[in-house]
Amino acid sequence: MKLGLLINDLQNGGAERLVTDLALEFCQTDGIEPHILLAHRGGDLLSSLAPTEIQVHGLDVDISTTTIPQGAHALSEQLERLDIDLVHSHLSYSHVIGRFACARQGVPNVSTYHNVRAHKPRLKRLAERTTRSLSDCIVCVSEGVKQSYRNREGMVVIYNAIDTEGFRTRVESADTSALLSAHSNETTVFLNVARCVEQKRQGDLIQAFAEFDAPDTHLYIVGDGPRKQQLETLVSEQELSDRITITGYVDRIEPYYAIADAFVSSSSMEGLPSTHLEAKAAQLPIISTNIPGVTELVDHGTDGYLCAVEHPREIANYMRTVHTTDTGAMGRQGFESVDNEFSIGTIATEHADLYRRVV
Amino acid sequence: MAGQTHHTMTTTQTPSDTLRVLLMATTFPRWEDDTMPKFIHDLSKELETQSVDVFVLAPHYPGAERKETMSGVTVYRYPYFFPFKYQKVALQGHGGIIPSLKQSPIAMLQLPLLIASLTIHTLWIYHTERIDLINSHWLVPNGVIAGVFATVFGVDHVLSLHARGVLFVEKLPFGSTIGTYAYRTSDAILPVSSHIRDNFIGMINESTTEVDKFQIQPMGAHSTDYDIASKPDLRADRDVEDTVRGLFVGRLAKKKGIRYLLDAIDLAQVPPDDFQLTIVGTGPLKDELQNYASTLELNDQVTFTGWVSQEELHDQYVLSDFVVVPSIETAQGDTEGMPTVISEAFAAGNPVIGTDVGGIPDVVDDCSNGFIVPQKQPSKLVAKMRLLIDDAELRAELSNEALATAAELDWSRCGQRYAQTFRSVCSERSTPRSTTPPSVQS
Repeated sequence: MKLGLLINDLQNGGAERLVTDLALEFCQTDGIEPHILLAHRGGDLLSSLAPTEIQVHGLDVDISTTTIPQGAHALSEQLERLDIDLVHSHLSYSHVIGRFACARQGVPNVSTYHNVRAHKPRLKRLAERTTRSLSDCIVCVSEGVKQSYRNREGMVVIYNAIDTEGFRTRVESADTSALLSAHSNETTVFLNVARCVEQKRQGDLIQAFAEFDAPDTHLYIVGDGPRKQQLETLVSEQELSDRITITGYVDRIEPYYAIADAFVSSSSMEGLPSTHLEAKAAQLPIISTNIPGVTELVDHGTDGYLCAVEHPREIANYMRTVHTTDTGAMGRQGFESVDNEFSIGTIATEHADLYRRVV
Repeated sequence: MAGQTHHTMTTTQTPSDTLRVLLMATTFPRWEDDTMPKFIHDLSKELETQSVDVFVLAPHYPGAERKETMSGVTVYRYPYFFPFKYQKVALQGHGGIIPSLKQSPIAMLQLPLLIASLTIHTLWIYHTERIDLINSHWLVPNGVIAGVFATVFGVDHVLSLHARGVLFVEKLPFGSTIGTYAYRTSDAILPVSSHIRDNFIGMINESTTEVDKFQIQPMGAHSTDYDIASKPDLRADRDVEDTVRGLFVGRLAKKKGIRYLLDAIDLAQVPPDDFQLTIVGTGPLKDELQNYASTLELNDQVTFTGWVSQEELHDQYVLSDFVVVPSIETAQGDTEGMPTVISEAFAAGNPVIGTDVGGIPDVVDDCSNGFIVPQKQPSKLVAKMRLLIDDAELRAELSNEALATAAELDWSRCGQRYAQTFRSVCSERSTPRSTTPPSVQS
């Protein structure tokens, strides 16, 4: 079966990582030949595909509302040329052009919804909703995503995945010298990895950290985004500049997981956060919010702690717990559960089964 | 009407059974007694008698009312350009949207405005009139927009396919996408002929097509208009009592296959006193066909009447013994949907000799109410014509069947079947389409 994995680009992101990991996994599976269809040929993750035989095809269209017809046309031609048997699309506009082109060529389409409904801008939501009937199956990355839709007919849940063993190895062998020079080995390090945008509510984290206020602790917020400056201002207002670092964009994420003692998140909305998967693979206990998607990943008390959204004080309390107790067992529990349920092998098999049902 | 089950609607509907249906049309009379095709209006009137409240939405035309009640049917006309007189897309009476687009580049520019206006008006009527079901006529734009409403609001959607729309959409770059979308977003599809259905199925790229979803339903005809009892008198008046009369009615265009009919008459070698053929209608091939008839020396047997009044056409049907529909499929794939002439012929008690193209075989039942012959084969055509010319008893037999079929093709039956389809679609959805969404945010 020739599988076309369709996405806008391969920049670092949950959906992009899933596409890359699926392609790498299918590359070693008999019966599925993965092709990556990129609207626009860019992205850091391309390098991980370079050593393989996986073909990456560009549509050379920057997908937006106005370029949908162009994109659909370009894709349709690619489908015909490559003789693709099934298209699996990721993220809103890819769904729309994927569906148009698939219906034109008579190729089945599977769409993966990576975010809860409310997360998407109205126009994208409408475009996605009106064209939904052209998809043969819709995959939601978590039960939370599925439940956020009113019409759940034909929706299945397949979790996002991570190459657990690979990620753990990369974390263990990461070069942390640059980071460790900044503070002592005894420092308890909290790590948040997320874009600096409204929904992630990192302001709550900063507040929680201020309230927690323990010596020899450090918070890293790894990510960039429109809210970064605002967060930096908040940090300096709280006079925490020496204990909170907002890194901006980083090339390699693994060293941060390597030096961290716990992963924290204050997000208000998630599909199935791949950062949490990474944290568990790195054997970190997680302090996160009690929202759909996250609750499916974090078992309160076993491999992490869950707080209500917009409650920095609760986060502060759990930071204290993590700081004062040994959480090694929690990290190991986390690794075990992510390795069982969310490993790329398991998830790829579920996808392969789904493809066979649809084709 | 072979294979159709006949239901009688004896149960009277209580008011609570009243369905509220939005009927999306592109061709609709602009005012009472308009010259343009009025079959959607006829259908709407019949639906009203079946406890279906019909709200028609059609493009506006300069001088027409924006909202009015026409014979009990509420009609909304959506404007899509200002000043109104520059509205070009739906130059009604000129064959609908598609020919208008071909003729006028301005119409091309107005198309997006028309679609926007149509969407807004559909939304407005959907909410204010509390619509239960949308019946869209033609794939583009109505079928697609109704499909969007079916997806977004969960309203029931019945799609009616008329010839023109399907054949045109097929040629568009994303024709199959449009077709598949309309197919998947509709609850039932009513093509006017099996030919249109097969065309549509061929157009959409669907690995499994639910045949149950399709129900062939030609547009109706007014069968009560013909006073067959007056036939002998009329014949006496015109002094044609002993001649068998064949009739062709239609545009003199290539796809009507009139040349093959003339060839057949040439082959028949029947004396002009025994058989006369009348060709009613005009069109691009008028001169060519008349010349051809002269070349074949058929002038004493074939009469070209040109365009005739409604009354004269009426008389021609009554005068005739049978009607010939020799249509062909052109090299471009153009052919008949379900020609109105067939239902009119049946209504006047005329058996029909028709070709095996388009929707003709759906209604002409071979050896029952007429004969089906292969297209473009004058020898096959002439054999059946001779059967009818030579055998008065056979003519009478087939004529009775023709009348019975006419009753089946009548508007009232068509309206009943439409109403039945609407009701069955709605009852299948007796469970609400969407459940209340559980709250996601804490």
